[in-house]
Amino acid sequence: MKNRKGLSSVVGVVFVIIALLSTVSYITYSMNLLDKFNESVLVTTQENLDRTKEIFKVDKVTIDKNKFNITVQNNGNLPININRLWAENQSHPSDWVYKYDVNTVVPPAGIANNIGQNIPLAALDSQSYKIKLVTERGNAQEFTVNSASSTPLNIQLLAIPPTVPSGFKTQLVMTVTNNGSGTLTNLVPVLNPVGSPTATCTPDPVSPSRYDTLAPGSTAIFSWVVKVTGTQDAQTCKYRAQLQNGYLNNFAEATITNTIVTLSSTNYAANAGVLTIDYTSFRWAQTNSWKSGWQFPDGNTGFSIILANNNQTTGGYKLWISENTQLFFQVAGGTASPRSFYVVNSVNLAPEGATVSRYTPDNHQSVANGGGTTTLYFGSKQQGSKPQGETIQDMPDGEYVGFIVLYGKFSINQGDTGTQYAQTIPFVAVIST
Amino acid sequence: MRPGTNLKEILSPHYHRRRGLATVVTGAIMLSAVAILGTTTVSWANSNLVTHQEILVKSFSEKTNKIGEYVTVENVWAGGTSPNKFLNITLSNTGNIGVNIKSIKIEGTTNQVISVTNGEIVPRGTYSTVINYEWNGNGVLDVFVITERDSIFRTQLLAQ
Repeated sequence: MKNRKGLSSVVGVVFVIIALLSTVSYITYSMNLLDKFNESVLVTTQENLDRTKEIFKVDKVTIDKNKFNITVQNNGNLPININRLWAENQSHPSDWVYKYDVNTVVPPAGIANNIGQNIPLAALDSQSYKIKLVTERGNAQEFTVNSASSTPLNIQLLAIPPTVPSGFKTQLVMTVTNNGSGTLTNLVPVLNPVGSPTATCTPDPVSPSRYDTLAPGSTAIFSWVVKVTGTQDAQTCKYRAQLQNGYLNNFAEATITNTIVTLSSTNYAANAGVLTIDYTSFRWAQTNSWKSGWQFPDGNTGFSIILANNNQTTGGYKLWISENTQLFFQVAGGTASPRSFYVVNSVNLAPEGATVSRYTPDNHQSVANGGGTTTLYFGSKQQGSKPQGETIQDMPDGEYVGFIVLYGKFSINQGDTGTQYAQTIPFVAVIST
Repeated sequence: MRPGTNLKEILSPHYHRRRGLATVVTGAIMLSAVAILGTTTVSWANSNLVTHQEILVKSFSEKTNKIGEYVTVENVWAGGTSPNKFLNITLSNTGNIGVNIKSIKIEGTTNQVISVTNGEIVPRGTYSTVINYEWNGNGVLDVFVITERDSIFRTQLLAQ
């Protein structure tokens, strides 16, 4: 009996142990499952987070050799895998759509080129395509190619200024705003004259020649510099700007109006400024060579500069330069006195010192209306008809501010009475040391 | 001394042999009872735990799979001409487990629910279907994709 004593307790304990083990196993298993679930949640959360971190943009889209050539830039901090390209032809009557696997990996801050060059799709410049690039994480970028023809765009054309004197230039500015929801590509402007222009307008090449891409809400600006010439006031030329392969009747127009600058004894003051100089052509000479710059040694000096006559009065009129024309230097600093350098025929370069040729006869040098130019030489102490008309003027030590005092007349021939004209032209500041 | 028992009987060896029988019987009965009760209890508890474990595993599996589902509406092509307009919808499985598309719901000028058969998509796979729908140009459409696990993925698009 003593040996059997407590057997029930032992059996009971065994069962209790079994029950406890089962419970502990269950709890452990449950905890493990919960742990795995947490891991799944973390993985899914991370994937969703990565999905939002994908940032890429389409940099450039062209059609090379009848294939799309798309450049994509990865602006995010995760590598992206562009695994599919969708192409929908919006111009084709049957409006087809195709899907292609491209599988192009773009590293962070990297650029992928030539996307679309290896797909079996022939792209045409004349067609409009909607393209979508889809990443492995499910993000997408959608844009349209040659898409100007798919929807009307906000196009404006402005002439700035709209009225311009004959012989001068104005600017045509074309703005194209992408009021759609997709990126536009390959925007090429086209400018054509409208109707029968009464003025002669010559536009320079457009700048820039194209926009590769235009994001929704963005505006592209094209400009042409147009030279306008005419013989009468209110002559016009009208231009129409649109986009190559653009939407039908989606264009803008602008009119440029010509004005004539006339000179007479009564109105020349109002039109002052028809004579201009090319400041970069300023040269000085003291020995045997022309030099540029605003500082030179003191001593005998001759000058040259190019003068332009912008008077648009036609009929063979010219500006005949009077011998009173001079380059006048006022003292800007120091103790030197003002100096006049009268117009001369020429400044003769020589190693031992430059000399000048007398300006004679009076009014013999001319510059034609309508943009004609001539080189003026200055350097004598007095007018050509005066005794010191061929004595070269000296420039003492000092600081000077100079301007051209120009006298002349507008006439057809040198001996004609013509219309007197005078103008001062701000010139340069020089230092003689 | 019990009545009817004499000294001779008491001193007899047979008397001593019968003496613990009741105890033995009682012990056996108790042992059996404990065994039966213990076995029953443990069996019940084990069965209970197994049942809960199965429920737990199923619940875990469902929830884990559900959160691992991710379906993207990769492309919607609005095509056709009235009255035969259609939407060609391509779905992409960007999650890490397979999904089974149960239905697609479109909300726009009219609402339409389409049941999908054979809508299984493996991870990184796609599924395309054409839905007859009279879309309006530049109209906004809400597309809901409902999976077998009752996950709902929604996207908005412009029919053009």
